[in-house]
Amino acid sequence: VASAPQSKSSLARSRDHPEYARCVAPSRHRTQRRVLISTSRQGSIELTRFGRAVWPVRFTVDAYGLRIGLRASDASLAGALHDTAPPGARLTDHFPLDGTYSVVVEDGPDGEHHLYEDGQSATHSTSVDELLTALQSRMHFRVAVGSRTRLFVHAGVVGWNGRAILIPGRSGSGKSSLVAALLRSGATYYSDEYAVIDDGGFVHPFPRPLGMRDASGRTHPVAPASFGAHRGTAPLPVGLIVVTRHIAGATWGPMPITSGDAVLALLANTLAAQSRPGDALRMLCAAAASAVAIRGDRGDGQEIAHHLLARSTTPSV
Amino acid sequence: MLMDHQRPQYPKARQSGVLVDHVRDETIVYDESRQEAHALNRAASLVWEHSDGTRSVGQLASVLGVELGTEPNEAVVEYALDELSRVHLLDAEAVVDSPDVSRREALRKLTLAGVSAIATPVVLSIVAPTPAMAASGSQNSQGQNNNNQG
Repeated sequence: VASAPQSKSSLARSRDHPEYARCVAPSRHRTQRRVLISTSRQGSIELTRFGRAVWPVRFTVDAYGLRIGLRASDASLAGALHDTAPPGARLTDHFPLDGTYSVVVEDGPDGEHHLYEDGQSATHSTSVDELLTALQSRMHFRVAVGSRTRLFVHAGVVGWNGRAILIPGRSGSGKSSLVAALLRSGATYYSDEYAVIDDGGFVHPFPRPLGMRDASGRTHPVAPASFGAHRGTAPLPVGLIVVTRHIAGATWGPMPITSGDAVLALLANTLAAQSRPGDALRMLCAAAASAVAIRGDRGDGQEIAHHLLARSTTPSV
Repeated sequence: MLMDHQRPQYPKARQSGVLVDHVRDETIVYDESRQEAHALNRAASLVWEHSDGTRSVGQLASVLGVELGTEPNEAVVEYALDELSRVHLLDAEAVVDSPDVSRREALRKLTLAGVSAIATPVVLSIVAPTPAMAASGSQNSQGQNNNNQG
């Protein structure tokens, strides 16, 4: 997430604004503009009048078939808010919306800034950066669950020799560190969070910055270029599926697994597994059909990276 | 293994509430009512797909032998039916409680019969995750199947 300045600008607010009423204490700086809010049939909230005046930043993106409205009460957040959009999202002015995220920035150095999801308070923070990070995480998760055009699998993905290496695993399982190790070894960056799979089983890039944890466990965005890597642009067939978990001191000695086992491993990390099981099976079977799959515990990342790339060089592995 | 008087004479694969796909020679079955997914290797797939309610265990053994190029072996079919019953992929009438001891016995018989790995039916299973589970990996997130080989 790009750095966003703390805003001290005046906001266009109203006492009639439900979000305003929830989050903003009475202030002598309050303006008296009226905002009309209506709830659409889909449950999203749309500004029907004066919206552009009230929200200095307001736009809608189409991300993998979902239309998400984004708003900020501070014009200086325009760039940072755009940066939260999922990779591949496009601006649109089509309605209705599937969801709305609103960032309300409080005046003053000690103000609490607020994030609203579909008009409901989601979280608050004194740091706009933290708020935008939370927004991005929520929005990407929502898109990953609700996408109508792709299947999202929690996985690290890199490209190598024209094929994708998939490492399914949950958040915090060490995907990012392993992806970073692969990037240092020359792989192309696709994602450290989601494998985005299409009907043909090809994997598309979802190249948001890597989420690298520091010693305290906090996650920091790091550009793939920091590891000397390029971002992939073309969809790739899957060449290798690596089912692994990090165990301190473990020796890397993977065993081959069947394609069916690999499909289950991917399905276990598929966000729409229960809501779109038919699509999930079709796409995952297509993805796994072209791939070699292995399972094993791993120790540190760099050693395994060389092994994985060497395996991926040989189609018959 | 199911006792003879418990085993359905003409086993029938469950057809309702399941989604089926294939990858290479394996079958992936999604149980919509239980939100579970199963991977059937070739031997298990053959038994399941040919259990149409008209074939006996002996006939299924013959089919399996022809398809796999092995000697017909009813113990293999019995073991496959135990596995399929365990994960609720046989029709309700065919489902009989299958204590672990019977699966161990079936496995022992397969071992004694020298059944090759390719002819041994294997069914791997997971519980399909909710979105939150898939994100947190609270269950089966590493793709570890929950097959419980008695």
